[in-house]
Amino acid sequence: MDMNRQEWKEKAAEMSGVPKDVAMGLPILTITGTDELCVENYRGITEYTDQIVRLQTRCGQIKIGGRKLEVIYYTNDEMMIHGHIRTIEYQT
Amino acid sequence: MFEQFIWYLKGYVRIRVSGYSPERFLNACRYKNIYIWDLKRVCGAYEMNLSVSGFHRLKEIIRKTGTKVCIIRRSGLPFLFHRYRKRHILFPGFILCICLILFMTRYIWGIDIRGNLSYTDDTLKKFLASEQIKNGMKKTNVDCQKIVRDLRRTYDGIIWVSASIDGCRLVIQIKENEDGLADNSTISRINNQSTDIIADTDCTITSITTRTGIAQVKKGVQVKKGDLLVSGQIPICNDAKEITGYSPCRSDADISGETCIPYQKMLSKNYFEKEYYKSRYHFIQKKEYAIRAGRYMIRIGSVKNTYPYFEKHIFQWQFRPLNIFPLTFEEITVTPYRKRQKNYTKTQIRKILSGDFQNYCKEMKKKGVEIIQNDVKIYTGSETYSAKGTLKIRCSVGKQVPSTPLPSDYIAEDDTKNGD
Repeated sequence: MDMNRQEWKEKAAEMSGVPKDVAMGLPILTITGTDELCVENYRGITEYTDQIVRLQTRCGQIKIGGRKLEVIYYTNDEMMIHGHIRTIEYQT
Repeated sequence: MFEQFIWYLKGYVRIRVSGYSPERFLNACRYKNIYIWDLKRVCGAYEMNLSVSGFHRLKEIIRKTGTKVCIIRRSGLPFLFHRYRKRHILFPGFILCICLILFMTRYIWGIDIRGNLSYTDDTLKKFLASEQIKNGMKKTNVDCQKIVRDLRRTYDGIIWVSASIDGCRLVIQIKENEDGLADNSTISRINNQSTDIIADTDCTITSITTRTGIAQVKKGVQVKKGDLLVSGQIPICNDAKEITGYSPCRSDADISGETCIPYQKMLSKNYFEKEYYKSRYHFIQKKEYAIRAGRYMIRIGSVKNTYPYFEKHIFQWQFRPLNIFPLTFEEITVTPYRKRQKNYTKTQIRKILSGDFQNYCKEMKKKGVEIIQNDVKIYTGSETYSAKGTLKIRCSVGKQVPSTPLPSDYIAEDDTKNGD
């Protein structure tokens, strides 16, 4: 049922031309070099150390791996992560 | 940077959140729209910055998440004011300081003169003081255009002046005429007039190249001081070759001539040598230190002494805190000595007199004078030695003077020929 609803939403978004992040609430990750990552449309932090930041989003979890990771700011809309980013992993 | 400054003005706290699953605390803060920044993981807990208003809304979140929150640091202006609220002098002092700065910056506290070579700072500052431009005057009373005008009018050697106010200083930039050979004051005075060139010394003309004007002498002619060399009155002829009038111009020519000048330098046989008083290890010296601020001076030590002869050296360092208040540190050293009479040996005399003569020749060369011949010799007297002789030199001659109109029937021989 959930799958059907998800597919239906995806098709509706494609047909109407509305961006998927607006229609489906998909996360947006903007990475600048390897030092700065800006995440939008996330639900919350599930784990945070200086080597791993795990975020909960609508399409599953995103695991950001690296060294000296640091959350510069954390608001309802977006969060900024600084540090040496090595991996970004999607875990559904 | 700007954001940090704003947060400092508003005030913020740094807290540490610990307990079971502090991530829930973070997500709850996000849900309540509490802005968090500089979030760090420290020893199993989280440290973060929060605004003061955000901190006041944490109570419910702490209760729900079961975490423990402790304040690590309070930063910002509101906390600073609160901390020093009982220091009654601090804030009035701070306001008084700002008022004093605002008041003091309405005045000129220093005059900087740049680019001057031949006119010293003291000369120019004395002139400015006579024009009521001095330290301690109001900025609004400074008329830069008038300063520029007055300086240009008074000093002919200054060809460009700029006056501007930079903070509490009056900056005067000067460009002097670097062509020091010419008599600048005379030139500027007669710049728009017709001029003649006259001989400034007795000599024999060795070359004359005229650019403007009519040459009145030839190569090889002996002239006396004040003789006319180049006339600035150019004759105007009619069709019958008769002179109807003169057209004045500013004469210009390169003229060189040969002349003889005497040279004499006397030196006494005996001289006084300074013998400094010496203690066991070093010379006897007295020192005094002083700090000068405008008319006021603070002295440390004294150089008063009873010695008949002494050398006095004063070293000054100017120091300007914040480029506003001029402070001068002085170190005065007095070294006493006794005079001891001694006689020069012949070798020493020869060395000194010939050295002086060589320096004199070098100075002449710098001025563009060529020494063709010299017969300077050292003569020995009973009490003195002297270097005497005559130097035959070749130098540029002529100086510009305002032109005197010639009588209508006067014309130089050469020019009549040229005109024919």
